[in-house]
Amino acid sequence: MKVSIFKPRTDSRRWYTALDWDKVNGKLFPYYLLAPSLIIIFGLTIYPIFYSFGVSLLNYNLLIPGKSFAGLGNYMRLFMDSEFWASLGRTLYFAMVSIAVQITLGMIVALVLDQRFVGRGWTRAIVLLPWGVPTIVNGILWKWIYQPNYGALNGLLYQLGFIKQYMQWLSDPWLAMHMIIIADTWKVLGFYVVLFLASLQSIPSDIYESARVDGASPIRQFIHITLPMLRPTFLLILVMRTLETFRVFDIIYALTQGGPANGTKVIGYMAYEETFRFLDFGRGAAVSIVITLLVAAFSLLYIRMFFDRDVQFS
Amino acid sequence: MQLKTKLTNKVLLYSLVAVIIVSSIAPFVWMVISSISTDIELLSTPPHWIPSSPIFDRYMALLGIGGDRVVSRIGPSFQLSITAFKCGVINSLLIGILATIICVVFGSLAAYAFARLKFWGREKLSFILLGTRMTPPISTVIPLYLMIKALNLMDTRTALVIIYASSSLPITIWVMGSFFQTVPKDIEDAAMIDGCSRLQALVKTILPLSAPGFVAATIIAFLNSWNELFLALIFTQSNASKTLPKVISEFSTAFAGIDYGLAMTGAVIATVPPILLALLGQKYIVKGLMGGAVKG
Amino acid sequence: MKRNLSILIMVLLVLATVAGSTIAKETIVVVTPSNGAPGAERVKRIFESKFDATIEIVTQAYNLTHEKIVTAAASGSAGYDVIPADTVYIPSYVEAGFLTPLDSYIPKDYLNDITAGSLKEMTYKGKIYALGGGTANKYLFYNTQILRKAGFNAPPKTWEELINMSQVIQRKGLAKYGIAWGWSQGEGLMCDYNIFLRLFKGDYKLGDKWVVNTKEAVEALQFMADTIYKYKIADPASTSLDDREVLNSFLKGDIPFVLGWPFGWVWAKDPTKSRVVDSVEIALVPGLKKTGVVSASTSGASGLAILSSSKNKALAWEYIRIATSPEVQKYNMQLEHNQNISLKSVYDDPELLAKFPELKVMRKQTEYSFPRPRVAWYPQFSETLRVEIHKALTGIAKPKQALDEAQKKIDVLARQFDRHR
Repeated sequence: MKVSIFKPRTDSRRWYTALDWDKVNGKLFPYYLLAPSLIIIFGLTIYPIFYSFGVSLLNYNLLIPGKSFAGLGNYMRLFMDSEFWASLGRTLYFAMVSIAVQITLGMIVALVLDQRFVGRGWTRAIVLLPWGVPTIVNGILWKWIYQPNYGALNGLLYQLGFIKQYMQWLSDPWLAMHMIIIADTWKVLGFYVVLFLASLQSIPSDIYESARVDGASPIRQFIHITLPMLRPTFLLILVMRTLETFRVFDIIYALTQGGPANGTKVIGYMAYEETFRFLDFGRGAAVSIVITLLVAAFSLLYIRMFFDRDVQFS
Repeated sequence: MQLKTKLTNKVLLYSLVAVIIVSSIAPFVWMVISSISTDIELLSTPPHWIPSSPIFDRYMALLGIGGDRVVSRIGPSFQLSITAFKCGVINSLLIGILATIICVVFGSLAAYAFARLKFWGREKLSFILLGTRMTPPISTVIPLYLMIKALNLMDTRTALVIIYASSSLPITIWVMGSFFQTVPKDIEDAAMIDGCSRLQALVKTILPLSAPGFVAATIIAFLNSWNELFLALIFTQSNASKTLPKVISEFSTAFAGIDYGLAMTGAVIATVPPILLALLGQKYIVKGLMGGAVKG
Repeated sequence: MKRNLSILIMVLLVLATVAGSTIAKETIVVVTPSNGAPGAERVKRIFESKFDATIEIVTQAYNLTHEKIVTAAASGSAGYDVIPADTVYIPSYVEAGFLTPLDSYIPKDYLNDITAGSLKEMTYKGKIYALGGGTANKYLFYNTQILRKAGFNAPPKTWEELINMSQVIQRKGLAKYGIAWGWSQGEGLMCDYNIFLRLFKGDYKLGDKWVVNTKEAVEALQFMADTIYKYKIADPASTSLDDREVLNSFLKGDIPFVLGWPFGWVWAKDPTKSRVVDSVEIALVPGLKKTGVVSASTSGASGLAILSSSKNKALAWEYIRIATSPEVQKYNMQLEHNQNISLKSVYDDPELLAKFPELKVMRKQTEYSFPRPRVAWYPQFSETLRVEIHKALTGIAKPKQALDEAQKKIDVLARQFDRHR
C-alpha cells in the first residue's frame, strides 16, 4: 500500500472514499422497498394489538363516564364467566366438526374429480364457485333456505317425503350450530377440493404404476400412497380452518345473531357483542386479546409445521 | 364381465359428479329463482320451484333502470334500501379498487425485497409478516376505532381503504413473493449487467414475468375488501361509506323488515363480480394462496 | 412602510374573521334512523325556511343507532345536536350524561297535550329528556274472515278467549295455528315477554333491586311456553322468527292472530305485500281473565333528544319543536301512515279519525302500555334475560330454572355497574 506524502489522507477524505454510495444504497435498498408496507403493517396491525392490550387493562365502559386502571380485572371476570368458556367451547366444537366434515368431503370430491370424465374442467370450476360468494350473502341465502315456514329446505324435504312436518332448523341450539356448519361448508368446500386436487396431481404416477404391478388393490393404493402423500395438505387445512374459526362472524351475524339461547355464540361474536353492543371496551379488548393469543399459538404451530426449514418463502 | 364392472364404474362416477355439481349450484339457482319470484309466490307452501310469472323489477330497481315506476311496483317503502344499495355498489367498487392498488404496489415492492434481497432482519420480518397474516380483525378493531375517530375519518371511504389495505397487505406480500421466486435469477442478473439498476430490473424483467402473481394478488385483495362485513359494520354509518355487504346485511335486519326477494336480488348482484373473478383467476389464486405450503 | 403593511394585514385578517363568522351559517346536525329520513327532510325544509341556519341529516341503520350514538357521544365531540332516543335507551344516555333535560324548553300547553303514555316513556328520574316519542305500541291484529268462518264476530278480549278461539279455528281446519310469535332471541322477544309479565302483574324491580325471577315472571313465561307446547295454538317456528318475519304468515292469511307494531299495520294495508287488506282489523292486546288485567302492551316509542355536548341547544330545540308539532305529526300520518303520534290533539283530530279509524284503538292501547325496565345498562339486561327466556321457550330449561339463571347473571352485572359508579 503506497502512501503518498504529497497527498496526505485526511480523515474526512478517507471517510468519503470509504463510503461507496452505490453500496450503501444497495444496503438500504431493501428497506426502502419495505418501508411503506412495514409502516402500514406496524401502524395498523402490530401497534393496535399492543394498544388493545392496554385497553384491556382499563375499566372502560362507554356507558359509564371516565376510565380507570383495572389491572387484570377484566381478565379475571372473564375467566370466571361461564358464558366465556361456553363460547370458547363452541368455537372449538365448530372448528373440530367443520374440519372433520370438510376434510372428509373435500377428499372424496377431490378423488372423484381426479378421475377422467367428460366435462372435468368445467366441473372443477363449478366446485370453486361458492367460494367466491361474500360470506354475508351466504348467510342470508341460507337463512332464506332454512326459513321455517317458506324455506326451500323444508319444502324440498317435505315434497321428497323425508319429513312429515316442517322443521325449525334454527330453533334448537345444537341443530342451529350444525346448520351453520353446513352453510359454511357449502361456501368453503370448493377451496379445499382444489387444494387436494393440486396435491393429488403432484403425486408421481409411476408410484401407482409400480404398486399396480405389485398387485396392490385401489384401496391399498389409497391407504399406502395417496393418504401419506396428502399429509401436508391435511395439516394445512387443519391449521387454516382452526385459525379461521376465530374470525367466524358474518355467517352468525346473518343467520342467528348468536342465538338460539346463545347456542351459536362463538368467541369472535362474543368479542363483537361485548365491545360494540354492550360498549364495554375494556372487557371487549380482553376477549380480543385472548383470541389474539390463541391465534398466535396456532400460528406458531402452523409456521413450525410448514416453514421450519426455511422461514422465508419456500 | 370386465365390461360390466367398467360400465357400473362409469355410472357410479357420473352420478357422483352429478351430485357434486347439483349441490354446488342448487343454492345459487334458488337464489336466482327467489330474486325473480313475486312476493306472493315466495311465500307459498310448498315452494314454487319455477316461478309462473317471473319479474325483473327488483333488478331494475336496484340497478337504477326504469325509474320511479319500477320502484313503486315493488313497494315505495323500499326506496331507502334501493338508494343505499346503489351507493353501496359505488362505495364497494371504489374502496375495493383503491385498497387493491395500495396493496399491490406496496406489496410487490416488499415482496421483491423478501424474495430476492439479503438484508438484516429479513427472517424476523418475514416471521412477523406471517403472524400478521393470521391476525383476526377483532384483535385490532378497538384501537383502529379510536384512531379513526381521532382522525375524524369515521364514516368515510378513506377509513375503509386504509384498513382494508392494511389487512390484505400481508397476504399480498406473501402471494407475490412466492411468484417472484419462480422467476429465474439469471434473467434479472442479465438485465443488471446490461446496466439496469435494481429498481429498473424489477420493473422491466421480474414484474412482467410474474404477471400471474399480480393477477392472484389483485384478485385476492379485491375479494377481501369486496366481501368484508365486520369492519364495515363498525366503520361505516351512512350512504357516504356503506359497502355492499353492510347494505345487504341491513336488508335482513333493518327496521323496514326482511324482504327475501329484494335480499336475494342484492345477493345475486353482489355475488357476480367475485364469482367472475374467482373463475377467471382460479389457477393463480389457488397457487397464490397455497403460497408454497404444499409443494405442487 | 413596513409598519403600515402589517397594520393593513391585521385589519384584513380581522375583517376576514368577522366576515367568515357571519357568512358561515349555524348548522344543526340531526341523527335519524334511516326509515325516518324522509320525515326529517320535510322538517328540515320547514326549519330552514324559518331560521337562518342549516340542518344536516345523518342517517343510521335502525338496529345500530344506540351503539353508534353512544360511541359518538362518549368522546364528547360527537358533533351531533339532535338524536333519536328510544325509550329503552334514555336511561343509558342520561346516566352517561349525554342528554339535556327538556323541561325548561317545553311550553305548558304543549306539555298538557302529550299523552300520558308518551310522557311516561320519555321521562327518566323525573325529567323529560325526549319529545315526540309516539306511542307506537304492540296491538293485536286479527283476520275477520277467518274469525267469521269459525263463527266469531268479535276479537278476543282475553288470552283465555284467544286460546279457545284458536283451538276452534284449528279444529275446523281454517288455519294451521292460531298465532305466530316473533320469538327469536331478539329484542322482539323482550317486548312480548314484557306484555305477559304485566298481564301477570309482575315487574322488574323489588325495591331498589332488579329482580327477574319473581313468581309472576315464572307464571308469565310458563304461559308463553304453554301457547306452543300445551295449548298448541302457536306456530312452533315462532322461536326462530323475528318480529318482522312473523308477519308473513299473517299477511298471507295463514293465521288469524298476530301481535304487531304500527308498521305491520301499514304492510297489512299494502296490496303488494298483503293478501288480507280487506280482512285485517286491529284490537287491544287481550287481557288475562285469571288476573283481571284488561290489556297490556309494550311501547317502542322513540323521541327526539338534545345532546348535552350540543353547542346550539336553542336551535336544536326549535328543530324538535317543529318535528314534534301537531301539524307535522298529522301530516306524517296522512302522508306515510306514520303512527308516531304523541299528542292527544292529533289522536282526536276528526279529519284523521275519519280517515284512520284504527287511531281510536291505538290511542286506547297507549293507556295500557308498560315500560320495559328502565336501566342504564339495558342492552345487557335485555340480552341476558332474553337468552334465558329463549331457553325456556325452546324447552332447554324450565321457566323457573331459566329465570333463576338470569337472576344470577343480572346480579353480577348490577354489581359491576354499581361498583364503577
